[in-house]
Amino acid sequence: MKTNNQPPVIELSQVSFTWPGNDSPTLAIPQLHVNQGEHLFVKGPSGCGKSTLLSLLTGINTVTKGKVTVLNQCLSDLPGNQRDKFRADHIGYIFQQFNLLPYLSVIENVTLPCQFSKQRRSQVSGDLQTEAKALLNKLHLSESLMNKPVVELSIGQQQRVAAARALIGKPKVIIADEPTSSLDHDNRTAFIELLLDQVNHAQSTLLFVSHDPTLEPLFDRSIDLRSLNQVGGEQ
Amino acid sequence: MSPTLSLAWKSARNRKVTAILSILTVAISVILLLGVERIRTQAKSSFANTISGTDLIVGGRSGQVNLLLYSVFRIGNATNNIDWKSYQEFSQHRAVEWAIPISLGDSHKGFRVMGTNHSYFEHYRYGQKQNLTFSQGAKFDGLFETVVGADVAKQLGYKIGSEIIIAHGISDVGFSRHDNLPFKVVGILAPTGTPVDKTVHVSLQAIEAIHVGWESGANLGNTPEAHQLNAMDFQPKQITAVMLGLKSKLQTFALQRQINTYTKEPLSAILPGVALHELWGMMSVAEQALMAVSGFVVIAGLLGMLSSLLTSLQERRREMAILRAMGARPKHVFSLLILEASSLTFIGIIAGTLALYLILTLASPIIQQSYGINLSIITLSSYELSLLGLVQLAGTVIGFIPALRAYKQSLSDGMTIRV
Repeated sequence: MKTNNQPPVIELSQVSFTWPGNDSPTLAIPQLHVNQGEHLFVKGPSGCGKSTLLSLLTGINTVTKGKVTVLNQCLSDLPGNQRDKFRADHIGYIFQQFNLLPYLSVIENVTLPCQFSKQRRSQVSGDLQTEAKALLNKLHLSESLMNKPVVELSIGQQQRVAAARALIGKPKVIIADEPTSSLDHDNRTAFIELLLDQVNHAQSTLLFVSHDPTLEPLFDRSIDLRSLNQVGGEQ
Repeated sequence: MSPTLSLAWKSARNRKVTAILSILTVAISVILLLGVERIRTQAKSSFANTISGTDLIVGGRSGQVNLLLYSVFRIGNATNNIDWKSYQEFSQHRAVEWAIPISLGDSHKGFRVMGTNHSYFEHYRYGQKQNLTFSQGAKFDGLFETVVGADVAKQLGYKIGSEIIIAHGISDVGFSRHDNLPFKVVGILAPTGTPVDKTVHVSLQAIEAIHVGWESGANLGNTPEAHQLNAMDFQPKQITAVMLGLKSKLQTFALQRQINTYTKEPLSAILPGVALHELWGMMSVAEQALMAVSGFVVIAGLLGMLSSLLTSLQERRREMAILRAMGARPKHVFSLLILEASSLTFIGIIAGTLALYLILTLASPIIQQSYGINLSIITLSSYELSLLGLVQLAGTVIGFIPALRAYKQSLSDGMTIRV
């Protein structure tokens, strides 16, 4: 099915998802396309199906009806462990906050995805540690911070480590789930600019979820999940 | 799986205190399990090694355990003696190769005194049919000469030439001492790890000699002097027991039957091996109780580890979610928990085993001294290894409980952080 010269990286069609045990669907999205290299801002307050959408895109859950295609792969066609492998190989993920494993060093946190994915490891030419350090440098984290325990880093610094972790091994898709909600305004913009730089550099596609409309202008395109999700607001 | 192992290790190290406590509970239960097993087997072998090569023990009529206890272990007293004539008759029996007469009843500073003759030093065997050997000196020849066991010499500081006073009966108090007739130490036996080490050996004649004037059980004041006694010839009238070695094992039962049905005197003949077995059997209840207790301690230890693992799961949900987002599969999460449980158990086993050896090294001289049980420091037996293997297996199996929970949790939580 990869005949089009520029197929969308993420494609949802007639998607509906119902949590087991629920009568009505939590999410119903007729159509969504995200193109290669696009920086998409997904706006939505909590409760409009944001977590559900992310769990479908990352293959944690599969649709009840319809089709989610990521990188030409229909996720519901894959068995559970293949979806896990797919996520490990192709998706970099940034959480809201407290993103890092406290018992690993900064470098170990950054290289973690390469432990679970051979493909992302193979995208790194040369030494993994060197690559991690280079990424951290590009995200303006000084060398001296790299040997500190992660809990001694500020929230802003932690988020940049988390970004480096999502970027390592150049995954095709980066999903950021409200990564700036615990940062102040100046730090937010700085963080997003650094992130966008590196996303461009890795030629990845970014899906940035946030409820903060002031960030909208920084992105190529913006969609409102409330209007996209036909059952939005019922949750 | 090596990234998982290193993650499991680092994660556990992050929860250092609970991890160390889990290791300690496992280690302590392993110490107890192995310790009880050690004491049990070594006490048993120490027991079984006390006498060897003797086919029959003959004494006054009594139960076989009682006869074994007083003749071999020097515990308790004989109910009846044997007439010297009976001894002579059986020692010259055509089936008998050698006979060791023994006469008990006196003591020296808490150690039993045993009257015997030279055939004791030639024929008595212990352990794996080992003969008694002298670390210093030689057999007694004169009337007032004595050969002491290794412990006697060590504890009382006796050397060749030391003079000792023997007491009548087993309570060594002033008025019951044969104090006008000192004995000279002429030989010290090498350690055997048996009651022989705690025995003072004199000749049968000496036993008779020191009791001249003591016929009523107390010194009536007409005890002759040593030089007078040396000139006299003492033929024992009675002895306590006889150990017999036969020319052929085949005759054992026939002779035993003949002694047990001896008409001139009520006698009992026992097979030491059978009596040892019966004696050990009497203690097996205590033995099994000990094993059961240590088994339960192991279970308690593992349950302690289980409860701390389960408690930690709740606070580790974020960790699991992050790992899942980084591409860890539920099977990774599962093996993370299994690895943690089995590594904690493994480290606990190693720590427990090392601690046990440390304790054995420190305590075995004390146990040897106060209980006479020789705890030799030996490598783990295959049975002990299999016990440890069982603990490891149980620890790993127990890890399945939190692992399954974490597996389910990570399936349902996915990457959502629920705290």
